[in-house]
Amino acid sequence: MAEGVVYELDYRPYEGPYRGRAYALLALAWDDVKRALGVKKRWPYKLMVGLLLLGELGLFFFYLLTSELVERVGPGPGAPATLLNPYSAFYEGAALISWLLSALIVPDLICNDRRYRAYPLYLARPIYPHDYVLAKGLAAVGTLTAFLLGPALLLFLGKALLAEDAWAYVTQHRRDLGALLGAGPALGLFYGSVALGIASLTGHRGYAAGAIVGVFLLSSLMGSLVLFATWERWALLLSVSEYAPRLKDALFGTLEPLQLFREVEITVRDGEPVTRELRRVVIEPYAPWVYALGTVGGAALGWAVAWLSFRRRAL
Amino acid sequence: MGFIVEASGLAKRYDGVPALEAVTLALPEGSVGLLGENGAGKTTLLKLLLGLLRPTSGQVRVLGFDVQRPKEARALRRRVGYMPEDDCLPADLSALDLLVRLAKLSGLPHEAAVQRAHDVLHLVGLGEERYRPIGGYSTGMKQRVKLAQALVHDPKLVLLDEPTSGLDPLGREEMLRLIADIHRKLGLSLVLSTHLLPDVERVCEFVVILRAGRVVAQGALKELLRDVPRGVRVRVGGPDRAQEAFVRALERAGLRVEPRAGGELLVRREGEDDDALCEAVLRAAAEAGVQLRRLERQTRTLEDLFLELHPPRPR
Repeated sequence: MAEGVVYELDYRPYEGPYRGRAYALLALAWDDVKRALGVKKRWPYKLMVGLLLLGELGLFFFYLLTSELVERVGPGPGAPATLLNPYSAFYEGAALISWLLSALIVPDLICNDRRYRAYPLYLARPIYPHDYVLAKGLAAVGTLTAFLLGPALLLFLGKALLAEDAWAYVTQHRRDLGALLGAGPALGLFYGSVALGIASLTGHRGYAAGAIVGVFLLSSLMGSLVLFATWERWALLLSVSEYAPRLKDALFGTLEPLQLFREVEITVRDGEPVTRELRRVVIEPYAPWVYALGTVGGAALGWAVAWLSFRRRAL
Repeated sequence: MGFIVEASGLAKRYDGVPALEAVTLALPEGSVGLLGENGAGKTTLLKLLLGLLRPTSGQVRVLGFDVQRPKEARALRRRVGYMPEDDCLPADLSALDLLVRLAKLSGLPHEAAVQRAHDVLHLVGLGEERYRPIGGYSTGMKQRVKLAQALVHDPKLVLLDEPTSGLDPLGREEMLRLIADIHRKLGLSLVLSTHLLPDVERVCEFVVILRAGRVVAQGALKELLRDVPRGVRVRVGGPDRAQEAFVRALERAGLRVEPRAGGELLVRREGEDDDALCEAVLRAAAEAGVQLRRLERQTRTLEDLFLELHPPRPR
């Protein structure tokens, strides 16, 4: 026989326990993660999140199958190291998806509270003002990291299970596993933090999403244009979106020079150009610590902007 | 009786502009009205009491906590509920989801947060609407949600900033009834900040009046309104000679006559009840042949006190 409890709705004193500050922060962050993933949101939002997740899974299957094929057939001459390492290649594609995901979910986490001036509701709780920014940042970075790391670990697991000896595969590729565990959070931290800082500057989700996409896109464009104009290595540093992916390459040991072709004029006699030919230009990458500094610095800047923006509006 | 708020020499300046100056308070447990015109410093005082603002000078303790110490201010906010004046509710959350989120932020475990959210929403009269997004609520419903979120974590003291703002007469009546119940039935202390005198007269036992950032009066409402000379207020019409004859007739009858603003006279005699005074005034008016334009008992309302403390500004 089913049992039930009759509960009378009425205000009564609360005599249960009060959890601490860590619980409060994690509760707020977890609530935001659920909303970021589409819980209790409208279907267009859920659809967009679902499509991005499908894109990640598509990448997972693609690199699982192609890496198996390449290993059986053997790589061709001059094949990029980044693409030969399926985990590095996966992250290369997944970084683009996480960039788009950050433009979708981070404005949703940040902008509404600013737009509806909801800060007093949070600040009147037993938390410190900076806890609010911390919880929002945790939700943003945590969601993106989970999106990156989850399928990547699945890929590693899949490769291990497809190998003749799974344990041997794991031990032989433990460096890749370490790099995978480091690169995922680094990418999540970078994209989540930069998006956090940009989104904190406005109460409109559309503007924030556009700004996040724009900052990464325009900096990439600017970096490429300056590089082709100057052929100087420092132009690479203008592309903000490249810091974390290049750090990822360094972790996987796939950080390679950039090989470009430049048209040059060859003068034979009397200053008159006779012929033009393409010459290979090799742009050496910077040392890994430069990209690590850029990744951490970009993340720190994002958090600082988010905190200052919040403090100015809320306090 | 314990004091819920003790402040000494409290001051707050924004870029040198004083919002509060030399505020010294001792607010007892119970229902306290914080009265003042717009810009008097009421909201600034409430934020100082919550520990959300740092005073420029002075000391303040709320429920025994020193709010200038961040840790104590945080501990205080577990015991204090705050209903902000502004429209600060996120439109995309339901009332239930918002209250559960804020209850967990106050440290309640999930199950207790859900249970208390339902209880408090029932208390404020939100039924099935609690499941709908707040963006579709009327002003009255939003005010109820704001009140509910101030109560969800079982505070000992509730700070209410203009709780009847924007409500129609019926909504205002219901809100005041709820607020009165909070104190009388639930036993919570409250500070009601408003510029509406009838709200304070209806709900509060103790009153603080702010003017231009300073406390100009504080005390039990009955005490503040008690210091009133008894008598009857009279205004007569007719030629000046007839009015002078009227005053002489009153004085011959042994009554004391004091001129008041607006051409009124306060007529009184020690030990005389108001009915006998009225009869004496009527006889004197008939004797002097003046028209009696106004005859009423002398009472002092909060409005009288407020106007005395806020003399009209020179044009």
